Amino acid sequence: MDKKTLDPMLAHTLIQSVATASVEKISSPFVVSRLHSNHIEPHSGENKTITIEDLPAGHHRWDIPESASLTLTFLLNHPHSVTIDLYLTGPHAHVDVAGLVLTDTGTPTLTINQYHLAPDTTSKVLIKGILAGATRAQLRGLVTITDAAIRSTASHYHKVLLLDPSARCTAIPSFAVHHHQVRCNHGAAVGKLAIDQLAYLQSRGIPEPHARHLMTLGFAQEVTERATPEQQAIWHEKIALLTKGA
Amino acid sequence: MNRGLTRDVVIAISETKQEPAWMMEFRLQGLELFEKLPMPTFGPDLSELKFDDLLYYLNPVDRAVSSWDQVPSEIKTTFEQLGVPQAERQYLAGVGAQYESEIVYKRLHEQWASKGVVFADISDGLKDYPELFRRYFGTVIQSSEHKFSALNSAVWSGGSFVYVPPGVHVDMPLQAYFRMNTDRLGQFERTLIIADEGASVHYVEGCSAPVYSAASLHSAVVEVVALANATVRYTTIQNWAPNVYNLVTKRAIAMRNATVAWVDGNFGSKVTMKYPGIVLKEPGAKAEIISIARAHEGQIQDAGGKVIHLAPHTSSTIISKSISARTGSAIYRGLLKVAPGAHDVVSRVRCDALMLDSTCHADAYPTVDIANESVDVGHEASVNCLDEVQLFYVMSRGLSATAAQTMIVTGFIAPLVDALPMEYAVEINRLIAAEMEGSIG
Repeated sequence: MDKKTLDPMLAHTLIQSVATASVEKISSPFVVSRLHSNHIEPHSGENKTITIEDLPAGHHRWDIPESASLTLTFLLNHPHSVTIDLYLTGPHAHVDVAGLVLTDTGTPTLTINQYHLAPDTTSKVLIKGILAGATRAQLRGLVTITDAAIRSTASHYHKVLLLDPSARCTAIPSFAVHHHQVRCNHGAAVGKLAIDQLAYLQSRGIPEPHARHLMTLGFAQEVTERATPEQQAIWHEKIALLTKGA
Repeated sequence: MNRGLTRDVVIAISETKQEPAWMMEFRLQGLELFEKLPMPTFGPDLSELKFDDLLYYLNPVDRAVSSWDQVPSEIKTTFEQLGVPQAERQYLAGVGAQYESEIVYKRLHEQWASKGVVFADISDGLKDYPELFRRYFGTVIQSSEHKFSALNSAVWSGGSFVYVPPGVHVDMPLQAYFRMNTDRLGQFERTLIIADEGASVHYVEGCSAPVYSAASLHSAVVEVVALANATVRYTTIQNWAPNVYNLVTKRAIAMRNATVAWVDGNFGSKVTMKYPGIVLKEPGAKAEIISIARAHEGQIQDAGGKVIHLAPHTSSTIISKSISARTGSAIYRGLLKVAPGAHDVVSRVRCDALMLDSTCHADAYPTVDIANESVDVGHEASVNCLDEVQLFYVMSRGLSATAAQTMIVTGFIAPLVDALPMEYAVEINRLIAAEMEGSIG
């Protein structure tokens, strides 16, 4: 499948799910391609791991039923809007999302909504943004814990690295909690590469551009390490392109 | 004066106060904007607010409750629990004035006046310091910003005017509580505080005891100007009666190396919408906002803070804590904005919500808007219930369940209490203890 030939606006059918070492241990390892994202959902008691090489624009929804688990990793590398709705519909449902937003143009908007509808559900969302050029990215998130979702746990974090003075980011991580026996955290952090770390690497003989690139890769690692080595190589290439232009 | 808001009402208010022509014009422009501007499109439902049913100017005599018997029993019970002295109880309930403080106030006033500090009723400020007043009035918060800033501009009455001359440090907090002007409890207060270069002042208003008001809308505007190297701390504790919509706009401007702090405690009212803001306009300015909200019995506390970094090398901290119980809703709504030219900005936002039972509600809607790469900005929020491990630990040391819960909640709001003058801190701890009785589901 050559994803380079696809228009991100039209490519909503291209989802690649990977069977990694950890996935092999689970009850129903799931390997599929060319399916609409809405159709790749775990059934009750099933675990799924999905990695999306470039998250298509548009609206995506995943329902996670009782005792099911979804691990989703994605790269967003286009200046369009994406909304992901995650519905934890059954008890003990679990979702773990990590996403990387790489962009240097336009006004990409990524919205992720976590709806906890059943007891003992857990959700984790971590979005890392590397923004360059004159991009104006918007990261939004809403965690809703209904009064039925007792003992649920949710987290939603945005961490953004700005590589250029003209890059701009708006982060709006929100929550609405209707039951007291829950744990819910959210956060947003925006910054640039740490000067002291950069100086340390340079003092070890690493040229500044390479040091910047290494630090940017390190920033993205929490997300990229969840992908296959082949996917990681592609994502690292995209990060290199972004840091070179910055 | 009749109910409802008309041009004649606005003119009558201005004439009653014998204001200059420019102020009457300002009020009439406010009225025009109020009629044009829409209601807020976010936040709590305000549809029960009937502007035509409100009285827009109350003489002090009209405002007072004629006898102690008319004060609601819940308010009297809370006075008892807090240990508020009898004279203060009558004053807070609108039955009478707190004459015992008059001598103290007079002595303090003489001290301040000798340093050139002005601490007066806002209307007296307009009369006695017309040039200074006009230079700053309405410059921090525009009438056109939203419907309630326009409303306040049209009908403002009561509030304080404070001016601290260059280099003067006011050691003791200026407390609106001591200012004996009868307009203190106005529905549409307007306060203007100016700290000149190198000056410092701490202004305190409100109190933790419940304030009974016959009026159902409190819509104040507070403007603070901190000039270069000045320090202003503004502490508000509000505990309005449960019939009151408390819709307040507060903002400060901080110039070069100035520091502004809002300490904001919201305990009463039916609905509160209050997001104190600080605009860091010149390099080196610092902002600190501590906001605490307690929501119970159907209350909606929609509070938070806003900081706008317009200049480089500015820093800010926002700490928000909320406690909700018994069908109360606590909402944090905040903004942290860094303008394109504001490099080397550091900011931290922390908001925590504590939910005490299954009937309450907690939301957080923060916005972090960053337009400069050279920043170090972090926002973090959490929602939790009382930690059973902590409760078990405290109870194993011999405390009852209620005492243990009170101790944990008191610890949770410690950032606010630590920032308060001692007498306020004591009252708030008593208020929390009284609230915890039977509040745990």
